[in-house]
Amino acid sequence: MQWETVIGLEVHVQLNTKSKIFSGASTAYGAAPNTQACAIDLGLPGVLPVLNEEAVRMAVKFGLAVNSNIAARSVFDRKNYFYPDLPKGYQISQFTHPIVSGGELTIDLEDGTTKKINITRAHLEEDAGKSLHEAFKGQTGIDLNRAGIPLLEIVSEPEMRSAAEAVAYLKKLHALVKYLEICDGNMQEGSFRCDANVSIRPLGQKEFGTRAEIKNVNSFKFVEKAINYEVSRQIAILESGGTVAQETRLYDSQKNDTRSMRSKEEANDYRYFPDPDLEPLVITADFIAKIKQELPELPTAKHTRFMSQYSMSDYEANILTATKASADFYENTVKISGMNNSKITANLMIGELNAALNKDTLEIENCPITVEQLAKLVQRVADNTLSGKLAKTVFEFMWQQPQDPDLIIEQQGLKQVTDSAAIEQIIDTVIANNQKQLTEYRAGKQQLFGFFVGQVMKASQGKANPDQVNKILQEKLS
Amino acid sequence: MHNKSITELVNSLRNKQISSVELTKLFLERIKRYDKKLNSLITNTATQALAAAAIADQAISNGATGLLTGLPILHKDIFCTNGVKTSCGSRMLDNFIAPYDATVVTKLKAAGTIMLGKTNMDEFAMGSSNENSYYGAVSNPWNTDYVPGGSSGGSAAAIAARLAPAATGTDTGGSIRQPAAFCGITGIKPTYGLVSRFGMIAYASSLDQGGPMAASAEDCAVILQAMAGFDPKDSTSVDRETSDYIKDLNAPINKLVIGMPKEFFSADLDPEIAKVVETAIKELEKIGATVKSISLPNSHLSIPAYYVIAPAECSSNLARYDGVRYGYRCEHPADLDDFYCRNRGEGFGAEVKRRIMIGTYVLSSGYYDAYYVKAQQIRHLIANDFTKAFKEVDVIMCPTTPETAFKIGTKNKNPVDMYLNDIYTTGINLAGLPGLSMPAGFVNNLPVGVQIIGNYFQEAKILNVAHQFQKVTNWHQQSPQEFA
Amino acid sequence: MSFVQDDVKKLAYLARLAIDPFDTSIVEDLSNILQLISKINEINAENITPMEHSQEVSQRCRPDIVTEPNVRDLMQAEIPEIAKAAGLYLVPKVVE
Repeated sequence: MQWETVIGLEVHVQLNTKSKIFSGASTAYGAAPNTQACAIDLGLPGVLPVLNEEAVRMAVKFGLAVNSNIAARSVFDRKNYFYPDLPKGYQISQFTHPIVSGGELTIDLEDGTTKKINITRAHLEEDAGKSLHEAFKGQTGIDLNRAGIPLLEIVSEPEMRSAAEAVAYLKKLHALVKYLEICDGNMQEGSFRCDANVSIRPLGQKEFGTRAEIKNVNSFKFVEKAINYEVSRQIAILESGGTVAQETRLYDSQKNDTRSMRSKEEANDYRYFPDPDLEPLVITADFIAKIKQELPELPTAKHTRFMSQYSMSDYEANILTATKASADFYENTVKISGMNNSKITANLMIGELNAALNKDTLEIENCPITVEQLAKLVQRVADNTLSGKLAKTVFEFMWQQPQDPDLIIEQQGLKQVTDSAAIEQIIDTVIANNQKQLTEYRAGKQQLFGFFVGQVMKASQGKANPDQVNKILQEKLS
Repeated sequence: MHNKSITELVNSLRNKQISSVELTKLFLERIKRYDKKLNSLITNTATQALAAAAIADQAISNGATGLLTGLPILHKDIFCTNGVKTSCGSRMLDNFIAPYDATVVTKLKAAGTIMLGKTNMDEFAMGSSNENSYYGAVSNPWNTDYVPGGSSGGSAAAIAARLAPAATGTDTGGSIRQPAAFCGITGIKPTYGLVSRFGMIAYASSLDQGGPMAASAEDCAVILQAMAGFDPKDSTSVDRETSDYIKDLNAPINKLVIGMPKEFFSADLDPEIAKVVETAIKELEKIGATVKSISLPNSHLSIPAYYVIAPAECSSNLARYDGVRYGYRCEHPADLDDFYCRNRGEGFGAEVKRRIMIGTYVLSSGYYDAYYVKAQQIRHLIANDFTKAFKEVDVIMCPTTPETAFKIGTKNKNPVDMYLNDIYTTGINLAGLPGLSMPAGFVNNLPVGVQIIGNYFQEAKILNVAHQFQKVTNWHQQSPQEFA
Repeated sequence: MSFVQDDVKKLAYLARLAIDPFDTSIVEDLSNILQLISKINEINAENITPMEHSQEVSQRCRPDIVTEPNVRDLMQAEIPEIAKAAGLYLVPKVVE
C-alpha cells in the first residue's frame, strides 16, 4: 500500500510589541513571576480590554507580505474553557471573522524547486500564562507574565506532503516574520510555536484520513522527527487494521515519540461567541495602504535585487538573504569596503563567517566581529596586503579576539610578501636545496610543481603572494 | 436636612451653612439608627468618610469646589473601590478588597463626593428582589416585610429611607428602575456606552449600565453629570461630547409627544397600576404634552431574549471566579477539578448558578444558533421597534413594573416568576436606550413607578420630563414615616 | 422542552459548578427557564442581523506603550499563604 502524508501547520507567532495586546503591562521576556501581570491580565473583577494598535499593524504587515485578504471588519470572540493559566476562564481570540484570510508562502524544496503553500487564515489572540508543574509537591505554580502577550496564529492549508516540506514552510515563515520585524523568532523562548496536524491516506484517495495534532515541538529538527515518527505510527496502525484516533499528542524529544495527551478535547466545547467587551475592528483601505508603504523589502524582492545589484548567483543570494540580519550585515559591509569588492565580501561571509557562526551556533545578530572589522579585512584582501589564505588566518584571530585586522596583521606579521626580489630570493634558495626534485621536474614530473609551491610557502611562512610565486617559479623551473 | 435636594445640600456646603463633616455625620447617624431594619449596607466606611469629609471642608474653605464637593453618597457594592471590600453581594468576593477604583468611583470622587459605604445587592446583579444576597435580604422601607426590588435593592432602600442623598446603581434588565419603582424613588439607566463600565463588576457586558438613584430627577441629573463621559479604558464607552443634564431640566414640555405602547397597557395590566400611570401621563398633558398610541410588536419577546443573552454573557464573565488569584477558596480540594467545582459551587448562590448553567447551555455547540444567535436577532427587532416609534414620539411612557413590591420569600418557588417582573424594563436594555423610573403614586400603600424611555443619548430629555412632572406633583418628596 | 438530570450534570461540569446530584429542584428550575426562553422560537427572524452591540462603534486602539508597573505585591497581598509561593499562584497539581 502506498501512503501519502498530509500535513497542515498551525504556528503561533508571538508579536514583539512592547505592551500586551489588551493591557499596558510589559511583554519583556525573563521577568520574575507575575511581575508583568496587571489587573487586566489577572482578570480581576471589573477590568476591561483595550486593543494594542501595534498588534493590529503587525497582523496587517503579515497579511500584506503573504498576499492575503485583510478583513475590513474583523471580530474578537471568546474561547471559553477552564485552565489555571487562563485567568479569565476564556481566551480572547478571533473565530468567525479573522483579520487575515487567504495568502500564500512559496517554499524551497531540497531538489531546488519551489512549491506554493496556501495559508487558510491568520488571526490575533492573547497568549495564556505558564504552568510550572515540577517545583511544588502536589501543586502547580502559575505565572501570568505571558498572559496577554499578542499572538498571531497562522494556519496553513493541509498541503505539505512530507516532514521536509513542513520544515521548509516553517523556515520560510520564520524568516519572514523576522524580516517583517513582527517577531523575534526565538523558538527557545517560545516566540514561534508550531503545532502539526498529521494524517495519512492511501495514495490517490481524495478524502483526508483522521488527523492527530502534535504539540510541543520547539525546533525545526524536532518538527521533522516528530512528523516522521507520527507518520510511521499511523501507517503501522492502519496497516494492522486499526483506526487512527483524532487526538492531541505531545512530542517527546528524549524518546523521539509522540504520546496521547489526556483527552481534554472531549470535555471542551469552547462556546465561541463575540466578545461583548470589544467592538468590531474596522480596517480601512487607507490604513492598509500606509502600512504597505512602511513594509520592509521582502525576502523574495531582496533576493532578486542581490542577484542583479551584486552580480550574485542564486545560491549566493539565497545564503546572504536567508535572514534580514544577514542581508543587512552584507550590505553594511559593502557600504564601507566598496561595491567593487562586493565579491570578496560575499566570499568571506559565505565562507569564513558562516562556517564560524555555525560552528559556535551563533546567529549573525550575535556575531562577535563587527561590520567595520569585516570591511577592513575585505579591503586588505583587495589591496593585496593579504592573500586569500592569509585572510583566513587573520579571520581566525579576529573571531577569537574581535579587533581591527590591521592590528593582527601587525602583531602577527602576516603581511603578504609581494616584493618580487624577495620572492625570487626565497625561490632560489628552495631550488638550490631541492636539486633532486628539480631534475625530476625538468625530466617531466609536472606534479612536482605543487611541491615547490609548498616549499616556497613554507619558507615564507605562507606570506608569499601565491600569484607571484607561481609566475616566478614557472620561469625559474623551466 | 436629610430631605433636602442635592442642589440645596451642595449650596449649603459651599456657603458653609453646614460642613461636610457635619453632613456626613448626620447620614452616618441615620445609617446607624435605621439600617438594622433595612440591611441596605454591606460595608460601612465611616472612618474613611469622615476623613474625606474633613478634606472636603478644607477644599471648600480654600474656595476650590467641584460639582458635588462634600456630598455624601453610597456606592452599590458592584463598583470596585480601592482598599475597600467589594463583594458584589456574593460569598465569592466576601474576601475581596479591590486594589483599584472603578471609573465611576473615580469620577464621583473627583466631583467631591464622600463615600459612606457600599450597598447591598442581589448577588452579581442577578435578581429582582435583593433576596439573592449572601449578606441577607434587604427590606423595603415602606413595609419592611416586603422586598425593595433588585438588584440595586440596597441603594433603593437607602435612598427611600433617606440614609444618603444619592446612591449609584446598575441596570442590566431593570435593576435600577425596578427597585426605584418599588421604593418610591427616582433612578435612571443611561444609554449604553454613556457611563464607563471599567471597574463595574460585569454581569452581562452588552447590557450593563451604571446610573444614579436619588429622591428626584433633579438630584439624578446632578449625579449623572458627574458619572457620565467617555472612558478610554472601556472599549464600549462612546466618545461623544458630554451633554448638560442640569441646564435642560426646566425646558418647557409643551411640544412633547408621549408614546404609550399599546402592548404595555393591555388587559393583563393591573388596573390600579394602570390608573397611576395614566394619571401621571395626564399630569404631563396638563402642562402641554400630547399623547400618541404606539406599538412595540416584539416586546413580548424581550424577557425570553434577555434570559438567553444575559446568562450567556454572564456564564463567560463569571468564569474568572475560580479562587486562584482572588476570591473564595474551598477547604482541602482533592484535585484541580474539585478545587474549581467547589470554589464556584460554594462561592456562588443558587440563582447565579442557574444563570451560569443556562448561559453555558445556550452557547454550547448545537444550541448556539437556535438560542444565542436567535436572541440577538430578536434583540435587533426590538431595537428596531423602538427606533420606529421614536420617529413619531419624543419619549415613551409606561409602567415600570407590573405590580408593586411583594412580600419577602413569596416568589422563590419558580425562578421564572421573578423574571416576569422585568416585562417593561428588559427591552430597554436590549435596545441600549436610556430609561428612568419615577414615583407616581401608591397602590396598597406601596409605591408605584412610572417609566420614561428616551431615544439614544436623550437622558437630558427624559430627566426634563420627569423634573417637570415632579414640579407639579409631590410623590417624589414622600418617604416612609418610620424613617422620617 | 426540559432538561434531565444528566444534562444538568454535564452543564454543571462544563461550568465547573459543584451541585447536589440529588437535588431535583435544580433540574426543575432550569427546565422552567428553558421553557421561558424557548419562546424565542415563536418568531421567524431569518435575514435579521444579530445585534451584539447596541451602539455602532468600531474598536478603538491604544498606543503600544508600557503603562503598568510591577503590581505583584499589591495583587497578592490578600490571598492566603497556601495560595502562593515564590511569586507564583498555586493550584492543585494539573495533570496533563
